[in-house]
Amino acid sequence: MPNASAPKDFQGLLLALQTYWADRGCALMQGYDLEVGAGTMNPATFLRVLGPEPWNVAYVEPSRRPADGRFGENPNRLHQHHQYQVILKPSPKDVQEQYLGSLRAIGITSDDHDLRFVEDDWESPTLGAWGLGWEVWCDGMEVTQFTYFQQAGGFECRPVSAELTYGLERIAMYLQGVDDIYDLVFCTYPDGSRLTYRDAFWQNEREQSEYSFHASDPDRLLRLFDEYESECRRLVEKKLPLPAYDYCLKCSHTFNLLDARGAISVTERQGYILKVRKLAHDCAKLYLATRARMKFPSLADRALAEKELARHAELLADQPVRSAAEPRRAERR
Amino acid sequence: MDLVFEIGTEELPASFQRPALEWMAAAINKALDDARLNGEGEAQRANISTFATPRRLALIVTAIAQRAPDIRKKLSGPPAKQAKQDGKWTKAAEGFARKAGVPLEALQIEGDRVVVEQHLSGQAAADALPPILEQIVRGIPFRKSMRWDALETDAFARPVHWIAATLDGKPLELKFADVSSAPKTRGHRFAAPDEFPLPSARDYVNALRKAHVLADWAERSQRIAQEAARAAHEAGGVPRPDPELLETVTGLVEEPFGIAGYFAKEFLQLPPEVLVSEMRGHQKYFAVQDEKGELLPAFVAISNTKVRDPAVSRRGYERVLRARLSDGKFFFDEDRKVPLRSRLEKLGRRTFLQGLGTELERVQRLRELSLWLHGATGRGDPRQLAEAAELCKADLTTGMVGEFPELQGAMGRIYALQEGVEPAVAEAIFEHYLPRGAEDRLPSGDVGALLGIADRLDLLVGLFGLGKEPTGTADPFGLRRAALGILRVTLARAYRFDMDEALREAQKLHGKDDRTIRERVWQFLLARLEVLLRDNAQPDSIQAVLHTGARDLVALDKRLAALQTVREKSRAQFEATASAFKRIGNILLQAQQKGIAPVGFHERLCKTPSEKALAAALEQSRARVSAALAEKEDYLAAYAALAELRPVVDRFFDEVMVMDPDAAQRDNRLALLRALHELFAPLADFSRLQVEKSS
Repeated sequence: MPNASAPKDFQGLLLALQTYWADRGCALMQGYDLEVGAGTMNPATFLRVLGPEPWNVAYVEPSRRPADGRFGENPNRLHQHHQYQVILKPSPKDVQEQYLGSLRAIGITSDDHDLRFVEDDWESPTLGAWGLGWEVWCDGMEVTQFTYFQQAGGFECRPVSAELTYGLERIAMYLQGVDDIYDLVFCTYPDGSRLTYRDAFWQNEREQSEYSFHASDPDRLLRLFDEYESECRRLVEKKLPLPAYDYCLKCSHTFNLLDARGAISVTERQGYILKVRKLAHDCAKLYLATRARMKFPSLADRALAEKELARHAELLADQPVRSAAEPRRAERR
Repeated sequence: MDLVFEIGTEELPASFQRPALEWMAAAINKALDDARLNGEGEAQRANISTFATPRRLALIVTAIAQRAPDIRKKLSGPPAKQAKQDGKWTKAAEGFARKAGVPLEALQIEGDRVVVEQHLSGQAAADALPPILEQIVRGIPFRKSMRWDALETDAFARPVHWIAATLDGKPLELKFADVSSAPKTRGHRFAAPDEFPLPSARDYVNALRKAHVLADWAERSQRIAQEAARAAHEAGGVPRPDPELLETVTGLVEEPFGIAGYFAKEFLQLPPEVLVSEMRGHQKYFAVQDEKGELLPAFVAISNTKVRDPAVSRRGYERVLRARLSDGKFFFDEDRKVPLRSRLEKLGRRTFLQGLGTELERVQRLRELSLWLHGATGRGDPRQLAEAAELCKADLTTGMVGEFPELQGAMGRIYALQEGVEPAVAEAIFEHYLPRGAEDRLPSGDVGALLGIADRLDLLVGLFGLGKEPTGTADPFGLRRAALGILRVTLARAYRFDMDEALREAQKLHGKDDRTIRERVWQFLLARLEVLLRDNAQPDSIQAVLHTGARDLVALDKRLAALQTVREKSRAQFEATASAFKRIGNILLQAQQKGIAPVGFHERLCKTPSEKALAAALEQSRARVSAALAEKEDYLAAYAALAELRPVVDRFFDEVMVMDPDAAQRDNRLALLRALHELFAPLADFSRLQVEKSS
């Protein structure tokens, strides 16, 4: 089924994608060190797609979805799966060809497979983000979510970023020809013995599922949500968008835990989503304003930077407090 | 001249392609009209063909005029009095001249207006077309559009990669986003990716076919059907007919290849509805069935590429489906652990629609309202109705319906039968959603039918009460469909009830009593009814019947049928009768407008024989007509009586002047006419009929 050039194991797949995208000018970053539901929530995506500065990155994101946990018993579903996330900003004209090239790099070619771009509108209500694009099919299987970001945190994305999110486990299962996720070979040691996905993650799946569905303490989680929410707000007040956003992520994960536990009614649910969305919006706004205050430093075209500053004038006007703080610190250094 | 115009894009959503083509065809047709380029001769119009694949939208227009004819056009300006004062042109005249683009000297006075004759020289098609085509690219209304790269303007459904336009082979220049047109196209994304010259109008379809693209929608759709049949035959069956899926798949491929695949027989234990949804919904596979229509453990996927070894793709298709079917089986097994009745509590935690309470409250209203409908119509078994109402939304809380919303009702029926709920009730859980669209079948039993009417009445009254009635084409809650459902089911099953009372009852269950809202819902229903009835009757007949004031849909339908019958059977005679009645109606109306209110008819006041004859004839037929109209609903008999009366009526009008100077006489005659008019009023509002002989 997979051709000769296909990576033999899970980490071979990662390496092939890393090499491919590094060769195409992406900075190889890492997954975030806080719980996220998807690579999109990593600030390297959610915040960096805002504003005019170019940004090309790729990273593996371990993504937690408490409600998807299946106690290590379902061959296809996981509490935590791994996404390979690529952000190309602005979206290059040949982004589809670049993407198809990455599939070739992992041994998936149109000579052997039915590859298709099938309409998929992506929306994240908690992030106030949406985009248009496709789910990419390989022989009927969705292998990648391909999105042109139109909005994030309620702000128009200008320029538009292309986001490629590969479902690594699925692709690996396909390449290795296994039907059970836990049978995936993670890597092969020099002595020929193998580390399987089961060896690496099964216990985690079991325990995390037990935690999400039974052992978590809803009352405590509700309190934590409130704490995280007010901490996020406080940090927005302090004009610290990145630390504030960390607490927004905490809120989002706590909400997911509560949701998995069935501790939130349908009516309340909407309320929580709106709360997180508001936090995400405030963080996004503050982040944009902060970058603007720094005059969009990674924009090489300074004439364009001036134009963009004019466009964001309203945000700047909104930020009188402590606006001098960062430059001063920079001077001291 | 022949125009070939193609917009090359990244993969467009399947559902966008045909509507975009329809719009483009209409737009170019209108633009050519406006530019006086539509057609090479007087009689001939340009031929417009459209083509779409996931990667292109194209127009081919042949027989475009090479140059628009010059024309003279007379423009009419301000009144002469304002335009010329004291022999001089005024500011108003200057403004008009400027707008018309002519010097002041060209203005003339014609009658009481200033006019100017404009000479519009015809533009060459080659000059006129580029801006027209640019506007078309910019104007296509997509359901959702996007920006890409750093472009500020020019959104499109997906990024545009090329624009090709030629007129008789010569390139036309236009721009959109960051694309400048060039007379080049591309073939299939994988099989023929290189650019090649844009073919001529005549060669377009063939050349693209060689480049592995079936550009013609109908051809591609047909090929898919053939491929599906061929592959299904390999699997020992035929594809399950599915026009909607065929349409979607046509929008997903440029060159189709059918590949048969299989799944484990054990999955056939899943309900066929589930299997089909799993295959068509996410995967866009055609289900395969045997000659009896029973599903086989096989499917057909339509690939967009001719792969080296179909077995590789097949294994891929099968793996995905296997995972999905396993999930489906998981939901099916889990769902059956909680009986429908035990799910009512969960309904209490689900909001139906903001402002209309929970699903449980909705179900309780449906129970009351369907029982009321039973009381009003005398149809259906009340015990079954109550049970079906309670269970009808329970499947909304199942995993399966969560995964496949289109299986609502179908899953409820399956689970109910498995739980031993009696078949009529289980069937009603499914059937209360029928009809789901214009082509769908109607419920087969009273329980599902009455429950469905209750469900839709509840929705209409609820949402109208919240001010959420549809506006324009937007109808997010499907209220038009709900209204049509009520009408179709009520008429087909001849349910007799007063709609106003039903609406009142539905409102009561929402805790409201608002006459204005009820009237709006009724008007909304009437508007749909009018459209529905148009298949079998003339518009004026429908109007005449709908304005008899009855709010019993079946009665309205019967009256219309009778009216149509008499209109068709004895046209001339009927029209004469109708004219006479129109005349009576007019006289009564005029009298009313003059403030004349006749008190009562007294035979002793009758002077003329024809007056007496009419009174006698009316008395004679009164009982018969009343009975025919009320208990028997024999509207044809009433029309017969009406026809019999006509000679007497005609004589009355020939010999008697109604508006007699003697007020007592006048009032008595008016009273006689009113009695006559009222007797037949339930048949039709004759004033709304368009009859040839009008008196």
